[in-house]
Amino acid sequence: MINSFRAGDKSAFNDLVLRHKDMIFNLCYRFLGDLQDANDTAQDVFIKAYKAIKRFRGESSFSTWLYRIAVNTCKNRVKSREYQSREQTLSIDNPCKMGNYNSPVEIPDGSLSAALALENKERSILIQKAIHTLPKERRMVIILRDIEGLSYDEIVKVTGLTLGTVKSKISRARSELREKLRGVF
Amino acid sequence: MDCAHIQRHLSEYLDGVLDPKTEVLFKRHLSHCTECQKELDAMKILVQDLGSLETFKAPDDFLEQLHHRMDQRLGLWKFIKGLFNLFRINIPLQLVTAAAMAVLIFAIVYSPDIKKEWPSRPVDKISEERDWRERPADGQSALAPVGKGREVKEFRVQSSDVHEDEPEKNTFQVDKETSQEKRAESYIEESKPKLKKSIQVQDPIKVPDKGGSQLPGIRETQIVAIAFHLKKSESIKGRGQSLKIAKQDRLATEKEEDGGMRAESAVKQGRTGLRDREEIDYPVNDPVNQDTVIKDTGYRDNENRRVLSSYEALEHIEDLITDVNGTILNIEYKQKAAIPEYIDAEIPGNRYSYFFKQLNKIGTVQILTPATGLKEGFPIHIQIQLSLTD
Repeated sequence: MINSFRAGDKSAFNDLVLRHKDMIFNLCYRFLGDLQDANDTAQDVFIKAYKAIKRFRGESSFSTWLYRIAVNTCKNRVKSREYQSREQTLSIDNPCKMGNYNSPVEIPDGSLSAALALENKERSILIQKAIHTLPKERRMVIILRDIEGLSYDEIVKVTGLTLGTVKSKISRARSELREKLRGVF
Repeated sequence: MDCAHIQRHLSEYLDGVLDPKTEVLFKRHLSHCTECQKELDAMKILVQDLGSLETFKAPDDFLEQLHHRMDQRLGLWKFIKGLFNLFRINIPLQLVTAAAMAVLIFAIVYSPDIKKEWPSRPVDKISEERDWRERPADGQSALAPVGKGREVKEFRVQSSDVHEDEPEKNTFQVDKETSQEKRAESYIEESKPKLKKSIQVQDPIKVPDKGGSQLPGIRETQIVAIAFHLKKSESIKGRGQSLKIAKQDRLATEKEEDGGMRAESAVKQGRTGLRDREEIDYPVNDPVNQDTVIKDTGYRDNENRRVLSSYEALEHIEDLITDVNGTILNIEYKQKAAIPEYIDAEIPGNRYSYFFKQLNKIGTVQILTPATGLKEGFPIHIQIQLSLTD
């Protein structure tokens, strides 16, 4: 499929997009904390991949290559003036714009499962908030490791950091999150 | 292995990336340390929670949106690329190179760093002064503040005659015949050594030619134009108080008033010359110097504060130029009002900032043509325009 895409087969590109879009979208959302930003950035990632496919040499897996593009695109997005001005206007109480996915928490009925669902949702919001407060590099490695489930070696390839740095950053990110979420767990 | 060390590496232990030896040590410690065990459990829960977070899916129309954006972006990209292809076909590379060279040459020739102009003075006047300084082959001129109303007179000197070892060959031709010709000639004769010295001390000021080349052995000089506005003096000086005037101004005035007799005597006493600026107190009620005083006291503003006169300013500036080891090249006077208007001087480049600071204390300074890239050891030609308005 990748070879077909490289040869200019547009349907192969569509297949690759459909296969990886959720993975990339989720990474972008977890890193940026905003669904609209995540959508725009994920599209940018695929456009860049489309332009750069001829430079893909197959030394790593296609998903690793795509992750690498996504990581750089997300970092650039965070650096952008538009993103920074938006971040400044966010309220302290609601640092993550959750869009439709995070409508105000409501209990649909009084059942135990509903209460549990509510608890899980609140928990996930708090975790996302805590992730968003981490520095960029730590945020990225913890997302790649614990949310996307990449191995240390894959993270090294995606981020371009050394193995030691990756270990250190993951360890520090986890400790920091533990501190931030001490009352939650 | 202590608890701090264990807890620092719990994350790696949890992920199984520790080397086998260390892992054994960790296991042994954790088996009997409840504190570290608790930390490990908490970290496990955190990792588990992170792993079980909901995966956000891209919108259903993600692919359509993507194609829409790609059409927009890539369409524009293709259009631009096509334009370049078009140019590549139609315009030969030689033509593009020739155009680029022409632009480059134009930029070099008309670079503002090379073409410096005195903004408020006519260009031909500046070029005249430059010609004078550069000593034309057939003769040269010197400016001296003598004559009626401090009018600037020009005396032509044969270039071959300007040698101190051959003083007898010096011949001065006064262009303008006046009733005081004899006295003026006498004054000039007395001033000869000074004029010669002044001419020889001055290094020729070379403005780089349009190509920017510098002849070997000639110093780089840049021209700094300064507009100088006089500051109001806080002290009020009444009648009967003395006023200091630069001696050269007095000499010029004296020549005008008593036919140069006083000037002659001053010259004979060795007190002549532009650089010889020993200060003299002039009593305001002195009938001899009454006119001088009236001219030099400046004027009073609405609050009856005396405004620093342009002569006083000139005197300060001269002192300042001397302080920085500079040389006064020329002083130009307003013909009708007989007050100093322009001061041309040359100061060492490394004293420029000090000079500028001190000048700011005397009056309000406005730089019209700033100095660029000052080099230690290279002189700066300063053109100061005196303005009476505060």
